[in-house]
Amino acid sequence: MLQIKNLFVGYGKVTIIQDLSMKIDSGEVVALIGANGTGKTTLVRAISKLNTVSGGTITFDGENITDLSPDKIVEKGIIQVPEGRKLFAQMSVRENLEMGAFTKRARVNEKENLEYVYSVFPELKAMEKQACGNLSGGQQQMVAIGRSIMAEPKLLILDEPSIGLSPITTQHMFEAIRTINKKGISILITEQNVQDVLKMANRAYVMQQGKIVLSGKAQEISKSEELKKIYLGM
Amino acid sequence: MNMQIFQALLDGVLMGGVYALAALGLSLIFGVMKITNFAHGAMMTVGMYTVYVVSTGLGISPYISLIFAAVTLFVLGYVIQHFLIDKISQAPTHNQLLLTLGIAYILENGLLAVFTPNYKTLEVDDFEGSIKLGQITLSPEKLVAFAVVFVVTAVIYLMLYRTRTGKAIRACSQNREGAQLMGIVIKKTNAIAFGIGALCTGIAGALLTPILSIYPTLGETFQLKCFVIAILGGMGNLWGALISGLIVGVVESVTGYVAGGSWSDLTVYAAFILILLVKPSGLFGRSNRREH
Repeated sequence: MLQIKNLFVGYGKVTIIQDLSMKIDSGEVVALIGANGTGKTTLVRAISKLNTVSGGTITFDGENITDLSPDKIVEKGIIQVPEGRKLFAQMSVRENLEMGAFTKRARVNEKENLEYVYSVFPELKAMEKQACGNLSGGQQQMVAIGRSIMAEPKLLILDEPSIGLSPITTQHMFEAIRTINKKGISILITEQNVQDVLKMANRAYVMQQGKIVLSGKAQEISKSEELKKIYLGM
Repeated sequence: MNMQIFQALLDGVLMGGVYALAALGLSLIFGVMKITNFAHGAMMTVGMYTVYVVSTGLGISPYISLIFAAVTLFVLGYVIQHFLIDKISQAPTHNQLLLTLGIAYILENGLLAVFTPNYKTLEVDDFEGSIKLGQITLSPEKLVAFAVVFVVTAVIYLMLYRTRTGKAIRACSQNREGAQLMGIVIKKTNAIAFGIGALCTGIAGALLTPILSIYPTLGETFQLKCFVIAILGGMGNLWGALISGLIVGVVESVTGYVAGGSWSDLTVYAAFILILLVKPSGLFGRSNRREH
């Protein structure tokens, strides 16, 4: 579904992502793990075209999308829930969700999708009219995920969805992500919460200093000695 | 209350409404693009001359020519954002400021070249005399101006809060990357927002044309006034701009009555500095926290 080949991404003269290749198949949950500052966010921002790609190709459903603009990427069905959520703080929960259905493609099923979001996160319905800036971190994360569902993703990218959330809220969030995946939406998730995300994922890539250093089935990775080495420096 | 003070108060509110509309445009542009439009006053003058030319040329009421001014300024604003400001959106802020200042000079000098620096006065025959309510005299031009401001503001408000494009404009002003990730095309949304901002100042200019004698550099006075109002209201805060506009109008008018016209500007700017000393983010400004 998504295929990344020999990707280079950098800021100015500094290259962050070096010669990175990975793929995500239809319906999969793929985890991208690695310590802070290894380039996970840089990579997913490049997929959404918030960062400029300096080399390599990204293809989606067989089409080269390396040079598309961010709105065209969204139109193709690659939707990102960014790190820090990036909600519209002074707009209501409902308005934030509506903005998810901004593209022509997503407008068609706006009503059904809104109902679906409310069925996944019933809490949101009750605070429809509240400004997002006043919600708790967990509630804001629900709005962010809900907003992305409104955009009708084929591939949903979640960048550190559990950051700043309590363990219980995190479990709740992962549960919701599983539900969304069952709908047939492929998922790429970056996490520092390694063991939890590996339980949910089908496959995983481990990143270190802008490169993939380990990849394979999530279960195998979670048991591998190399992961411990990378993470704990043992 | 002394009737003459009441008169000054009313006059101030009516003029303040027009200032408020122009400042609303400036504040909207800042809120969305984070850019201070130094061509705002010059654009207002373009609105004035559009009304002057259309009214005298076609022999129609300035209040119908106003529609031409609105359309012209929307297009002008859209084009300036799309072809000029957008190109340097990644440049340092001072370069963007200089660009809008350059646009201001081009517009002003263009008007000077075409219309000469001479004052032009539009003869308005829509109204006869003025409206008298007891000891209060109201100019019908100012009353109509205030009514138009009210309608235009309501339309802009509905547009921003009820339509998809309006919500996209607000989304961009609150979180640009969040908006991009939802498929909103920033470039187009910015151009529309700048167009609406320009339209506000253009209509304000159009409404002033029957009241004032116009000349090509007249906008400079209003540029500074808009700036003061927008900052008092908290840059990017549209309600703040509206209320501050009325406040500035009233302060100006009442000071003019009490102490004489030459004291008006002095009092407005002194009050402005004092307020900023006490509340640096403006009367209705949010704190300086900015989300990225």
